[in-house]
Amino acid sequence: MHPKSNGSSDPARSLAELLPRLATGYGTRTRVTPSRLPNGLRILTVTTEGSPLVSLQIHVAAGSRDNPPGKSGLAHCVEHMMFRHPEIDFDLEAENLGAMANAWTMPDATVYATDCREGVLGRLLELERVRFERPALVPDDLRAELEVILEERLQSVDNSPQGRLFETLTQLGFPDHPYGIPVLGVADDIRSLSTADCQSYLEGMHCPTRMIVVVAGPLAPAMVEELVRDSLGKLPPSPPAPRFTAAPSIPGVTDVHLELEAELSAVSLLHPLPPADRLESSRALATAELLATLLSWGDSSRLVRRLVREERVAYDVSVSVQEQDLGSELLIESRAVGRSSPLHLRDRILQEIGRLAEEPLEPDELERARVQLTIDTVRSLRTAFGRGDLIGSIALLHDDLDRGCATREGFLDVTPDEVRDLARRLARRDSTVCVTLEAKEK
Amino acid sequence: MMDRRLSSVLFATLAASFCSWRGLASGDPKWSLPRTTEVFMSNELKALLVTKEDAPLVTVILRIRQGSLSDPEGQEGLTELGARLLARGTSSKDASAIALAAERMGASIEANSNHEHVEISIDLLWNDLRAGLELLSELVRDSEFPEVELESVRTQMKAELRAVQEEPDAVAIRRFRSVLYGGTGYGRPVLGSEASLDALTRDRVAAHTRSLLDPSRAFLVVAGPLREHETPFEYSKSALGLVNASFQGWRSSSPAPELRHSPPRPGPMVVLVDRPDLTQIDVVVGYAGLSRLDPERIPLRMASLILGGTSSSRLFHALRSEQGLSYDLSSSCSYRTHGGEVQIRGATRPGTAARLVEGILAEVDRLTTEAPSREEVDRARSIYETELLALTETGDDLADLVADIEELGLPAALLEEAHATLLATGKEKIVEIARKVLTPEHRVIVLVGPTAELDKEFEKWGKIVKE
Repeated sequence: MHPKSNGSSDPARSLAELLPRLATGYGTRTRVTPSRLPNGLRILTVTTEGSPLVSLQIHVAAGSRDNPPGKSGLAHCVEHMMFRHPEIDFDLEAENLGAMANAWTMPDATVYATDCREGVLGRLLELERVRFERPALVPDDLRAELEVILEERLQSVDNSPQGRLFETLTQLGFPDHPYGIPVLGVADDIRSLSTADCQSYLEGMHCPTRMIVVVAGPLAPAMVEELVRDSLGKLPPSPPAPRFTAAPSIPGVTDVHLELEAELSAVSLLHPLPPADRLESSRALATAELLATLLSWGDSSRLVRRLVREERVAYDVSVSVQEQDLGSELLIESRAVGRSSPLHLRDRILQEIGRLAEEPLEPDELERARVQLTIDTVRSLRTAFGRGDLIGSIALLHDDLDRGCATREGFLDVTPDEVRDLARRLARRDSTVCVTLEAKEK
Repeated sequence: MMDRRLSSVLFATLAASFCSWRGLASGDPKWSLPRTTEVFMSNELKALLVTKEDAPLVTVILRIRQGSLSDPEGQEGLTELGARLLARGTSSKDASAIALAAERMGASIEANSNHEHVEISIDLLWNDLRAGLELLSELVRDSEFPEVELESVRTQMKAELRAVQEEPDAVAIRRFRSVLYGGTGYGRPVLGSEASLDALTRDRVAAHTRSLLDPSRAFLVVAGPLREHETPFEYSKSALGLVNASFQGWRSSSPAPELRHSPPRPGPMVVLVDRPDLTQIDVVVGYAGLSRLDPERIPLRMASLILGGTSSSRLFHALRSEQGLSYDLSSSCSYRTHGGEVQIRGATRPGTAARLVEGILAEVDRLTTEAPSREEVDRARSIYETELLALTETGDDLADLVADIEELGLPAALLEEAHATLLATGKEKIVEIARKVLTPEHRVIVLVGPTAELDKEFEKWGKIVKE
């Protein structure tokens, strides 16, 4: 513990200790030091040498799943309004320091991230303290920001065939659950949001016990802890509002066909996976990560090789795992080439996954996928932002950082039988939702 | 301060004995590039080895100083198609074997082009450097351009052209460039068109690409944790030894294809691309900009930052924060060897498109007539300093930077010089450069969306072209 601190610190750990099989090449110079302040705020300092760049990230355990009924888009709107403080212009003040701020909202969490140079961290943290002190929001500011958000929605959903496809897919994949409601919100709900809604959300959700401050850069943990204690450490402790915790129901097999004015037909499939906030789910999620890699990482992966390169029925194909606290998902997304039918593309994807389930894996196929996932992690740790993002997202899911990190290495132990078993369920379409988009001539 | 172009570089058959080691700048180490070794091999291939110890990864970039500006009329897409085919088959490996060779190391080969260069790169663990270099060497020396792979890549590129049509902002940018350069030079898309791609034969692509692949027109950048592995006693295992072993046999000599550069055309013009299916109108207000070699590029970038380059910029404040007109609103500069562009971009509902353009032009006018405040200049300077530092944060960032410096003949002390210019640029210079570049004579406005009824509203800003 830092001598001036009233909080508690755990021993520093090297990245190589936390991720012994993924971060070995980083040696022991990159260290993670966790601590907690009396108001409940967690701090993670990721100390590195070399670049003078620093990433300051505040990971808040509150997201769109916590929106009250009929208030879709509220968490995202609050994220925008955090840049419209009545007393400080956060962007302007941060940019005066050469820092660049951004933020994003997800179903389970909201992240405020600022990249800066060493030497300005204290002043940035003071700005963060001011804006996290729950200011009285100005109705005119909210009105203007809602217009911005409606433009954002037009741009990313209404004006984009892929955006509309994805929105339809998640609605069907998580019926009657907040995960099925767009993070951006639906237009009518967005228009109805008030400053009172935002204040109420801020009060219950943006409290210190829900916040993790991650600082990655060439900084001493004791100094970071002192700076955070003198700024965000002054936020009054407050009881957090309860979060939405009901698990999503498992969807039945669903097929929806859309016809939209678009250039490329497309298909998306969503397969439910276990919740990410439980350690007992980690094996299933690691298996899904490995399967996703086998199917779509690079030109030698099964779906890319077969459907994109050889048969030329797909323009692209991507398989990914979205980890979510209450229920994760495996997503398969592909766009068709030329006049290929999206139904044919769907069938070919499922046939290839079926082959993977029934035939032995190629000799080095699993090992290749393990190497690819390992190197991806090594790459993500290159930047201050990447290190902060990885450690922050693990800490958000797991109080015990060591155990959380251990789950990240789980894919190294997954067996071929586990991969094939998941592939079998996918190929059978157990609970899998599918949306096809037929491109209509303009 | 040391200028790379004045430094001594030696020709060598066995490079280990003849390399030149040096630091590249003398001032604040923050603005210096790390130690770099330059070597010419006997085949005239130049190699630049840069030490960066941030991660156990090495980035290798092989760049050819010739890009799609050399595509003949009617054969647009030729260079890009050839570049992509480089990783699709040699005399001993088919496309799958090449992909497997890279991907079992957790790496993938990127092979593509822009208007000015062809690039093949790979990013992999230090321990795999030998295999990575040998693979890249095989691709540039022994590519076979198989017919079946040509069809696969052609299909991909045609689908990509369609996919771009689903992104109205990308359509607007393409149209802006096409109009600005009169459909020639930088105005021609690197990807070509469906018709030009269909016209390309395997033999034509192979001949053109082979003519580009000349070691005397190429250079190689290797960036990663090289220092700890560079010992005089283990030359064969050093990065330099590996580069030499892999590339010394690369031979070719052919005349360089003709470049088809053309200067920007005069404006002002307004291009209305009617897309009634869209619910928003994407707007580009663009100008002919400056070359990467132009010393005024830094003041211009500062002007762009003040105008719309950050979240506290004038455009962001006036049109997004105050009026809620657009979510994504920005201004940016592109620099090329023979020119460049300034682009101001936004998207808004059909009913507010004229208001958005009016607001953008009012802020442009203000920047050219009214000096920015001291606070604005300081802020732009501060942001720019952080951007400069980010250029060397990782080994792959550094490899890109060194490759750009080499390709364009920029000084090795680029960061130091840029930083000095940044400190010396005041508000008068910013107004001066804004007045010089942001002129209606070189302005093209493009709108993509439901624009059928907009010509009357927009004719005051230039000659209308409806599409």
